[in-house]
Amino acid sequence: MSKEGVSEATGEILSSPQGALFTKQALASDLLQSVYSFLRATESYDPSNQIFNDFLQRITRATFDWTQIFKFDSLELSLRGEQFFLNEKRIRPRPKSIKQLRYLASFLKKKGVTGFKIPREFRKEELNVFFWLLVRLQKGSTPTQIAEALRTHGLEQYELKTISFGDVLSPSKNKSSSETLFESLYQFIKICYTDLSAAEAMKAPSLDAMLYDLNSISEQELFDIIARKQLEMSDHPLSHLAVVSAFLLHAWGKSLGLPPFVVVELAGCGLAHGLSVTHAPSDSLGGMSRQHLVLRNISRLAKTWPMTDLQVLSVLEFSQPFGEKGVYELNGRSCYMHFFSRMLRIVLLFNQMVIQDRRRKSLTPSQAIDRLIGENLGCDRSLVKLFVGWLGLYPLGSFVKLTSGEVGVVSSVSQDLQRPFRPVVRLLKDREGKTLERVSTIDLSEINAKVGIFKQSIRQSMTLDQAGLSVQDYDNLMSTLNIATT
Amino acid sequence: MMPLDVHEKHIQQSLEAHLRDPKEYLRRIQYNLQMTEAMVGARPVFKTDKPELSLVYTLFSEGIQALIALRDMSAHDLKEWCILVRKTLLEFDDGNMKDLASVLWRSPSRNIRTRVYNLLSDLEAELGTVEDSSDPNKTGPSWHRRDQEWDLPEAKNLTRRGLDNADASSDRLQQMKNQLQSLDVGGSLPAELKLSPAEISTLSQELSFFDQNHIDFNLLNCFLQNATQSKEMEPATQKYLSQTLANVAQGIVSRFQPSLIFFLLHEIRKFSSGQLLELKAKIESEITKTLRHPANEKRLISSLSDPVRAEVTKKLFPYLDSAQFATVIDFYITFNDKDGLVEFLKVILEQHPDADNIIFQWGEERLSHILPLFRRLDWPRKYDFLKRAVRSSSMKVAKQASYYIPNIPFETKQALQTYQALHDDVKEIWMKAFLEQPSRENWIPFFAELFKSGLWFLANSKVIGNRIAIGWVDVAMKYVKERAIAWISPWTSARSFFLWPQYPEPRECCLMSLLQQRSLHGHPDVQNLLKREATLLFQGSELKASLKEAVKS
Repeated sequence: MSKEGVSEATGEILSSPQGALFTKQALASDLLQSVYSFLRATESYDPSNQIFNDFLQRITRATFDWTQIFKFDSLELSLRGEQFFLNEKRIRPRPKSIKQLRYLASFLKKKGVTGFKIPREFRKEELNVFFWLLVRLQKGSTPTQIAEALRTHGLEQYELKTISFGDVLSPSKNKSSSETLFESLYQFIKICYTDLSAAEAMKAPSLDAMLYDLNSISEQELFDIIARKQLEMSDHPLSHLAVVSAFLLHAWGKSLGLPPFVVVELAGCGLAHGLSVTHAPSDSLGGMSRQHLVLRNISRLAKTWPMTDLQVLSVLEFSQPFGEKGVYELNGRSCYMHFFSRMLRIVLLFNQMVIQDRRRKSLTPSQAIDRLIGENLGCDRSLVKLFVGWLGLYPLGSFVKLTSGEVGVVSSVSQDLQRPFRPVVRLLKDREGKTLERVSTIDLSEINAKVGIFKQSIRQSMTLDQAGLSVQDYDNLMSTLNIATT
Repeated sequence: MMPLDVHEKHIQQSLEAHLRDPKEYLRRIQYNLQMTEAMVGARPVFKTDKPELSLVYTLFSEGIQALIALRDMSAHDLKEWCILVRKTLLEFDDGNMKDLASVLWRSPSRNIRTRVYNLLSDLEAELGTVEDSSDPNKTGPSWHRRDQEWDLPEAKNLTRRGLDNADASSDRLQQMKNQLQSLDVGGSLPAELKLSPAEISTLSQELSFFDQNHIDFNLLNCFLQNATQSKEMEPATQKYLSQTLANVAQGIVSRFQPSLIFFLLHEIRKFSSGQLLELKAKIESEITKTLRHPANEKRLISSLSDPVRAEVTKKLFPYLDSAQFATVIDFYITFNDKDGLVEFLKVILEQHPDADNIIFQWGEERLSHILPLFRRLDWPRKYDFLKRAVRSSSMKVAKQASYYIPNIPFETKQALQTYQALHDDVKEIWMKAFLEQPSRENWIPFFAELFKSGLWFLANSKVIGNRIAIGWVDVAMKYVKERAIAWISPWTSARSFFLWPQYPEPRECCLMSLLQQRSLHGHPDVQNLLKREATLLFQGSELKASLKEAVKS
């Protein structure tokens, strides 16, 4: 087929900017639909099934049309947040294809894949091999491993992309993408919190872009890193707290369905909160009010770390207790706290209680939730309910003993805020107390069909020590996770 | 751009006719967006079979739940908003990080607000707690109905509902855990963890909207508090604070949020140091410029129809440009709102040392409407102004001002000169004013001179002249009683040819007035005059009979 194969009428349509736009969207939708159909079918049919021929035919046609008509050297699909881009052009979902796009996004995120590339010149058979490779891809595969797999199958011109951070400060090679991101943010925040002069002079990374990349990480991976980082001790606890809080705020904001860039702004508040306590003169605040301190720090960092008005407000406000109705007095006026500040306060308090710190005894996530519910910590009660409804009474990262005796860690959040939460638990020890070689997963919402009750439940929460595990054991076990869950 | 200009004009006309219908004060219209239709309340206002080609679906698929058109939306706002939507979508298509929902969440348009989807909106819809937005006039202090354009976003205007502050005891916590981890299927969420419909609704609303005014108010209070204590601050922080404060103020002024503008004006009065004084001057000049803008002026004036908004607008009256006063006056005159007019005049008189000149520039029609209200105004230069008004070349103005004449402290000579130049109608009003209003002793020399000079009966029209003449004699009797005989005697007794009266008509006017003053008839001077006049040969028969009757009784 060639461009000449395009009818005269289509040619005319394509020559107008609007026509090109519509045609691009139509072709892109066709392509995604056919990829969706293929991937969906892999869940039910054997690779030898003839049904895949039809799907491949459609993918072939759509890929050909896309590359030939618009003269692209290759077809490049990428997933950013919840949005798909084809050769850097976003695909706007049609009403009928919204669910299909969601499936595709979730499929790719589970694999840790953020996109793929198909060359302009391709064969149908190659496509078949490529997509089956994608289906069988194991989460956590490094770019080198992926490139090797593609080369082995003779697909050197094809690419499978995993998340990468081109603009982070010091990406480490041996860490997962989310770990790298965490580390980069931590390093930046640490400089800002500990050395204002150095921070003023440094070339700043785009924090928004880095936080935006969290959208491309699967929800599960985000939860895993939050849970893991809560257990880690850090050489600068305040920076560590800030980054964990930014991640948790990001996850919470996203779960609440806030728009993606709003979530980024919210997460940025988590990073910035420490500006209200850092660089205080040694004799406490030396007569300087907390607000003075915040304003001074923000003003000095204005060039390196420009903040939005809402972020500035949140950092100024979050230390105010919620009181009866979220009202505080300032300048002789009653001000109502913004929900960003209220969310920030809850997340910070929760993380402060949970994160391991040499200077004090930390609580288990479950104990921290108990304190949030049971004590007046100056939080917005409605938002606490929302937070607990999302995380559960045995929240993400809680080590728990099940009714059947196994020990595991809670690794999911609630999807339905109005119903009791039955989390997914990653089992670390069997019922005899023996550490498992590989982590396995159990969903507590599973029902025993014979007796009509849940199969398992949580008996009690425990600390890592009580679970008989060290942080190192836990990390080792979690590193087997990618293999176990794919 | 020509075709767009035509659309803009057409849309503007339509908005003027419908959204800003002068008969009713609409504040906002909320368009709830669904995949294939847009609704206002329960009424579909747009429906399509091809959603992909419609703006409604585009917005819906980007997470926009509702659009709120505010009263002051203009065709230009609409055009700017459409351009922004298009630009954001195209840039997002090309890989920009900012999605449409995030951009519109920040409400970049002054008069078009956006409600963005969040998880709680689903719960809100499930529980049926979405408030009916079909009545655009409803307002209230909650997030649901709060009008972000006019309310001062202080805490009392952001009252939250459905707050439950009870803490759960440790026993209760264990119970809750046991309940949630029971193996029984179909358990429910403990009450302590369940969000009530009111809480869901409130939080959902908060999450859906970005309220720039709320942010600005809180930030302003923080900055203002710190700015006034800025002595302790490092210069860099002080500079940052001033700059940020100026930016926030600029935002408020450009959005023209009346309550916040007033708040800002009120607060910057506290500024006293050099840098802050400069900032104060800058902000004040910006505000004045903004208030002077025709669109904002129109917005303020029309808000006077709305009782709640009018309160805010009135607070801004002192900051209006004097050239804008006439428009406000016209509004009050049109709606015959005398109380409002008085209130406004008080503001002008208090604020402007040259109020006299300003008021005289308003023209005859407006002046004649406001002069009757002067009795309700307490203003040191009121009577100077009225003196000037009495002498006005406009008969309407002079007439209205003349009702105040007894209270105006005129010098006799000046008063006589003024009186002499008046139109007959105005002279009559002077006379009536003295008759009807309580006596003012300071005017007696004027009356004496009036009679002495003969001005009391001088008029262009004979009919009016007689009326005025009788009236002035009545006034004289009212003020000096029988002593007035001395003033009128020269006019009654003067003869031209032995017996013939020199001033026949003024003379008769005096007698007719005297006949009415029965209480004075017992006084010897009055009796003598009456007797003398009753016996005169040339006296008219009817008047003679009345005089005789009066003498007899």
